[in-house]
Amino acid sequence: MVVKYEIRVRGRLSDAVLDRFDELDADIATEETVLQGPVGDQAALHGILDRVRALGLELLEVRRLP
Amino acid sequence: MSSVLERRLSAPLLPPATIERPRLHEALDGFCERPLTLVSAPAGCGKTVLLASWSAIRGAAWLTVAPRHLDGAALLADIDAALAPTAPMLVLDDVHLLRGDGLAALRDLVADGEIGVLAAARFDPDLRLGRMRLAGRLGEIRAADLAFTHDEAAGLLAAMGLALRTDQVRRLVARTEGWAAGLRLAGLSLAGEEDPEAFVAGFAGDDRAVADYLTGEVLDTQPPSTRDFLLRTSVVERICGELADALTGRRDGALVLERLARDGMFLTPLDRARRWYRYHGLFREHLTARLRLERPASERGLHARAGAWLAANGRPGDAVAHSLAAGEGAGCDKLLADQWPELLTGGYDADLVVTTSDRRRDEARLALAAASACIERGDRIGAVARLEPALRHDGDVRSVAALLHARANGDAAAARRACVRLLAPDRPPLPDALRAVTHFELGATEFADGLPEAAYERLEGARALAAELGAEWVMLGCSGRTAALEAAAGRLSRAETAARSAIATAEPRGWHRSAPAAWAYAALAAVHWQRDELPDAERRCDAAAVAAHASGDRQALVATRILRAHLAGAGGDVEQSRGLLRAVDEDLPRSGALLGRWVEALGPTAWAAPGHGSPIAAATAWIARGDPLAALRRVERIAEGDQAAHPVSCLHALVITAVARHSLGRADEASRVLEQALALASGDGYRRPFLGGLPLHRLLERQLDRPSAYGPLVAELLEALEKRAAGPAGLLEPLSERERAVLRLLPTLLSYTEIAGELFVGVNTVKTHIKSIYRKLDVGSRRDAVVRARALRLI
Repeated sequence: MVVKYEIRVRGRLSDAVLDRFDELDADIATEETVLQGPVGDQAALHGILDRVRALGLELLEVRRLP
Repeated sequence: MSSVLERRLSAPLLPPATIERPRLHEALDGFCERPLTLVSAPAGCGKTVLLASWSAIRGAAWLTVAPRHLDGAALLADIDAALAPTAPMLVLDDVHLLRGDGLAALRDLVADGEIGVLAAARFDPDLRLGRMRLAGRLGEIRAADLAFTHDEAAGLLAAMGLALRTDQVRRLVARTEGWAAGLRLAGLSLAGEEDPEAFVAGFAGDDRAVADYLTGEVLDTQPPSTRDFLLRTSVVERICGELADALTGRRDGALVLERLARDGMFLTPLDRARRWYRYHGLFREHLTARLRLERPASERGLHARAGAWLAANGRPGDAVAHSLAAGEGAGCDKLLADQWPELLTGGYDADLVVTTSDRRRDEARLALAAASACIERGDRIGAVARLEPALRHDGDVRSVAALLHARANGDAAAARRACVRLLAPDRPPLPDALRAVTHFELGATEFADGLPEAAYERLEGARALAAELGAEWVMLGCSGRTAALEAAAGRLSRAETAARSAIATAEPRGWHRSAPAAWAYAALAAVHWQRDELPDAERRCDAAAVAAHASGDRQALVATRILRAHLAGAGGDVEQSRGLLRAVDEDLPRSGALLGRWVEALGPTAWAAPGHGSPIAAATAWIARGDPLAALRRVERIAEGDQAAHPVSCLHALVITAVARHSLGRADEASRVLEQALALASGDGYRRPFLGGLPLHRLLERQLDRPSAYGPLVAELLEALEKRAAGPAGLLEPLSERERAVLRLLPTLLSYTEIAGELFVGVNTVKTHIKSIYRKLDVGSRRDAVVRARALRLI
């Protein structure tokens, strides 16, 4: 079963950084960016979080969607 | 030793425009007495710069964590080499890279407290921080402490040659929240900016992500040729002038690198000769993100160029990674084939390796890597098919092909012959990577063939070789299987260490569905089972089943099913438990000694019957049937120390003997034997042999009143038994209808004769029932029977 996650980071992300999360849909609000999409398993989720960390983004919330 | 390696033993060179931060130096000085000081903050907060400037003054030793430090022994050796006798302080940088074995070694070192460790990490490492914090043994400097104050930021920006007004500095600090990398990036942008006023206002008013925004600004203020240089060179982690030239097609690489480093462009020199440099990881991530977006077509070509240069300059691991990233049509296939030993050890993306090999059917050497990837995925047929051309080759390629062929067919004898050819003393010695692979493949074959002793030694040796090379994939292959061997031998602590180390390597790399990961999860589940941590055992068992299915490792699947049968039995689901064991029955005899030991290491199932199975299972069943003499006869030899017996069986035999003697009224003997069992169990934390349903309650209670060396363990076991008795699972055997009827009358004041009258049976029948009730409830008196029956909610 594929689980969907929603990952919120602070700030609006540029196209270059969004491109690094091309497996997720992005929704850019004024002060934050919401990435959302199917995440295969824990390893995939940690891979995404690792990219968030490597790019120095501020993680606001990780949520598993019902 | 290469100069890049040497660098890890001394503090990195400070970037230009570093400022003193006395308040943080004082904090570090204050923490010096504590065994561990943790500087924990995200990238770009200035951890390394702070520690480098502090250690330069205080003379602390320096070590930067490297891949080979995943091996705890290698880490401790390097720490020893780094430490000067006069300075019992060590700065350990990049501690977040440590996992498993290496992290455990650091934990022990910190627990010893003989030297003061200052550890820098991007996130909190698992070093029992909570406990150390409470004990006042931990010093901490975190992101909030590292944030630049207004004065520090003003100092930094001034040192970068910028003249800013106080209100401008204040706005930069507010927008970056004092984040060091943000301030530096802002300073770099400002240096090339004609209108600082507008920049500060624009930055402060923007709500884009700070690093993202500033990298864009920095790049946009560079001349086009520098911008091009930065983007192109961002594909590699470490860069020197010649490699830069290979990527840019220019000839000024060394000069440009020197200038960029001098300008503070997030480029750190890695050696005193200033040959090799590294971009700050954060800056590089943003550069590559921009490269991909702006020039999607050029990235693969750049990887191909990097791969070619690295291969020609003796860096096979990096060369292979870049060549694989370059993909089809980039002209890397020949290079990859030339680096085939590296491909075998690397744990590179299996799909990528197989596709590369399949589009170059003429390259037998690539087929070896593809076959190895197939074997690890459980696709033996695919492996054999790909090996055909390589078998017609000659030299090492043929020998390795023969080894992999034997491996795919599970033929240990043929595998050994191939290894003997490869490791023969009269031939030129194998390259390190091939030697590690040869030992590993042989160990894995012996493991699959159920030869535990041979496999154990071989895999341990291979693991040490792989650790030296930093070949994590081979390390995982070894430690996952070693964990299973330790668990099958009943060595719980060692099994746990090996399994956790393997899992810590596997999970972040997406290798958690491989065969060695399946074994590691299964081993950890077995450890939890014997320690009576059943929910943890269930969880690990699930992970093992997923990995065993995904990798197609039949034996791991059988081992997992056996575990599941035990867990189901303990949960009271006898039907499922029996069904699972029946399903693996035909696999067992064919799989050699390993699974046989695995079965013994788990002990009897909760529903053992006297008719068949091991002596332990039979004796357990005889105890439940109330025939201690029959039970004793079964386990006598094992309990007396039969050399051939499995250590876990010995433990069970001792516990059964104690119970049997106790019920025969030989209390002192029982107590003595129980003490022996406790001695065996305590070191590794065995609980299950005592909690699996044998009537031990009164025996343990007696032990508490005697001079036992294991008082706390006995008390813990008693508590667990009592907790269990609160639920119906505590009953050894269900009560019959008749027994229940008798039990209901026990709380009354009726005599046995009166009870017999009530139930219209003879008094002897009542006495038989009562005896049986006492046995099933594990009690010795009418009063105790009532208390316990109430606890079990039977009345």
